[in-house]
Amino acid sequence: MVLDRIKFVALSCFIAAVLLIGGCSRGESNVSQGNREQVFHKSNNAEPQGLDPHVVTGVAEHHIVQALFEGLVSKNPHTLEIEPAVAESWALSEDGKVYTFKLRQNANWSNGDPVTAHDFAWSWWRALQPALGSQYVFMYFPIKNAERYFNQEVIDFDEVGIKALDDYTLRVELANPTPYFMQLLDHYSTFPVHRATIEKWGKPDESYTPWTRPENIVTNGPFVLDEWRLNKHLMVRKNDAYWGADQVRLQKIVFYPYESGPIVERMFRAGQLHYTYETFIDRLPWYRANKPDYVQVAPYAGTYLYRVNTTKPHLADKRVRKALAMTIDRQKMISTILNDLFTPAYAITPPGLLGYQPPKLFDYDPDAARALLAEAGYPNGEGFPETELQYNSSEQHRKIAIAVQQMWNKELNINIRLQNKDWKVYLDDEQTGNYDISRGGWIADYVDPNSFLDMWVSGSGLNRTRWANPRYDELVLQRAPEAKSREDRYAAFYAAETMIMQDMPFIPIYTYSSHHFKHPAVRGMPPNIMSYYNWRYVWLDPDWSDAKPQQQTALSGGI
Amino acid sequence: MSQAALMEAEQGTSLWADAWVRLKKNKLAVFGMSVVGFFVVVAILTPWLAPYAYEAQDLELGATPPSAAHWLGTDIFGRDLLTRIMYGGRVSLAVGIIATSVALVIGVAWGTVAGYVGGRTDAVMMRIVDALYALPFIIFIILLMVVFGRSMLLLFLAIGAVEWLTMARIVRGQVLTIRSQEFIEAARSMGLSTPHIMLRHVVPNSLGPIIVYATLTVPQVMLLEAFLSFLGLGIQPPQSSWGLLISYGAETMEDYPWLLIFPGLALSITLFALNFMGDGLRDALDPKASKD
Repeated sequence: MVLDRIKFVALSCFIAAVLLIGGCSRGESNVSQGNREQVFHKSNNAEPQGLDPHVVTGVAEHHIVQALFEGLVSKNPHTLEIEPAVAESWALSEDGKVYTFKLRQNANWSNGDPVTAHDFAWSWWRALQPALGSQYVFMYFPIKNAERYFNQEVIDFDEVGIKALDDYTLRVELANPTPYFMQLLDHYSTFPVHRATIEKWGKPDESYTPWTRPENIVTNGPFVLDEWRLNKHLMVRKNDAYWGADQVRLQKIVFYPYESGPIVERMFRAGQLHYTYETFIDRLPWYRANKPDYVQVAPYAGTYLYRVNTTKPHLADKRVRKALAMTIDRQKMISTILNDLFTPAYAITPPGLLGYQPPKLFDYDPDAARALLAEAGYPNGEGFPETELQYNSSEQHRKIAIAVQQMWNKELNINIRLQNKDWKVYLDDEQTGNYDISRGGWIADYVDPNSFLDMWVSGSGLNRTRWANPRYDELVLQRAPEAKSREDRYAAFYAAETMIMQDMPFIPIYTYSSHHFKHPAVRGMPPNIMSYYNWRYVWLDPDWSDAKPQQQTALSGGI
Repeated sequence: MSQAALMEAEQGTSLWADAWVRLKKNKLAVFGMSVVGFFVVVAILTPWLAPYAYEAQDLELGATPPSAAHWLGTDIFGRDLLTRIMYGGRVSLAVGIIATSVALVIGVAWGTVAGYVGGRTDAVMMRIVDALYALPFIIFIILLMVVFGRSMLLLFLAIGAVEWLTMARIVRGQVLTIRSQEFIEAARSMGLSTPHIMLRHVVPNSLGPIIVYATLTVPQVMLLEAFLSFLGLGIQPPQSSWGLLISYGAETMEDYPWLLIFPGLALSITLFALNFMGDGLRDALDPKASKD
């Protein structure tokens, strides 16, 4: 009897499970429902650490914060030109140092309060509080006295070049003419925050107070926070108080924290996602052949590189570093294990960044490399100490490291030991100089060569190679900012970059590409070098149709 | 019948000889032993047998399915998969054997002493086991590696050092039932020393469960090695092991299924063979089984 009852329960459970699974597979997918209702499903690669624009630093947070908040200006996703956002117009003084912004009068916070110049002045004051610990505070440093205020050398905020002249006029005075300043104003670290809300839930310079919770947060962007379920999803809905609400066509955006890879790819294939943080590279050949209009690949303003610890005796010799750089067959590596996704890099700045072309001082040349190594005292690799190549645990980094290890071993006859490390250990070892060669990468924070060059000045927290050259510092920190024209400025950058590539404290490997799985119904997310998009312009076309594969092959060949 | 032959018949056969005869009759066990033996021989001879160098890449070739030049195909770096499985087998079998032996030695010794001596000694020893159980073993291994540095032998020892706990418990349970039996009493009344009784009478009689558990430990430690290597604590590329080959193969199984299938086959055949062998050994060594 008891057994019968158990059997009955087991059977009914089984039937229920079958019905449930069957029911799910018959139901409408996220994507087709989303296309109809303008609900955008995006995989975001990580759970956001927070939503405070002055505190967060990650890319996952970036995408969410951009939907929730809006700065003075934004960029056009097609041209990357600056265009008005909260600021309606602006003027630059003759000497290139004073910006005067006119704010639009219909910009509102999600609770109905107007967004005023005082909001910006207060928000920027907040971002400059040392106690807040904003990682992107250097974005403010072009402003007069901002850096000194942050370092507490100036106590009175009135001396900092940020003034609200009236409710709708903001005056910003720079220390030096900074041609890329407008680009910084589209970065989320310069977005305004709602003073009354922040003060209600904690001190202004306190991070991670409850003000960003869905029930508390007040924002000024095209969307407001709707729901945040840890490790499940974060949902935003259209902000009806937004000044440009008429143009915003999406009703909701759902951000999923799943890390990119095979699982996200399967979700995308199953119609659960419109857009992914990145593709799963191993599946790219299949997509290129079968579903070319479901991937979007474009060059990206970022460089993949290997940092070399210049304090290690055998790596202190620049001939050794050059020999290492010259024996990596970048093109071969990219066309084989990296699925033709990237472009070989021979300098730190990506080519064609707003018209700047980096120098190319070396090429793949194992013979010359062997000669250099012999000159440095290691003929045929003899006596070269075993060198550790560390990378943070990831499939991609592992692949590249294995290929590079073999190239160095084969061409230079030197022993390389690979070591993968957990992100925090890896970062710590890099910062404390406890490494020989370490994987690294750099993505531009704004569209300007400066974003790639000022990280290598002596004492920079991002340098980590212990390489220092006062002449380089002078070129990047003095001559370039003070240059009168773009040509002069680029000439200074070119001289600096030539200098650093001759010394090679890091080995450039490739220029990144942005690559996303993107459903063909998605509109308003064109490919560009910053992989930038503005949620204001994004919408879903319910009448999309699968393009003919034949036409598409030609298109993807162009990429 | 000569005097000598009579003597021989009276002497009887030893436990081991007896077991060997029984084992030989068990076809599955013989099959298992020969497979394991074959893999071990191949692993030892790999440096001479392997068709390619395990780290030699041919990037332009890339991942190819099995062919005449590469019997089991190549991975995305154009490395010969057969060679990598052979070299991987060296690591995996070594881990399996060494780590299991370490676990076996510690576990059996600990469990026997605790079970046989009993009383307060038993209580203290088993509480230590309980305490070690509570320790997250990954953290324990990471600590060991950090303190003693990274070396392959140490990895094997470290894995063995955390795998003995269950073994100790199983052995102790066995010993508790054995020590109250008459033949132990008889041995004691004959004045045999405690170590002698333990080695000659207690351990052989608890061999059955020990061997079964040991064969189960082998796959466990092989997979643990793959996991640790994945975290950066075990072996590092270009070296490989079956566990690592499988875990990387699984990532690309939709495009390059052979990268998963062949290392998977190697591991599962070995595990099957080990299990058959373990089953056979248990049947052969169990003195009670001889009566049927």
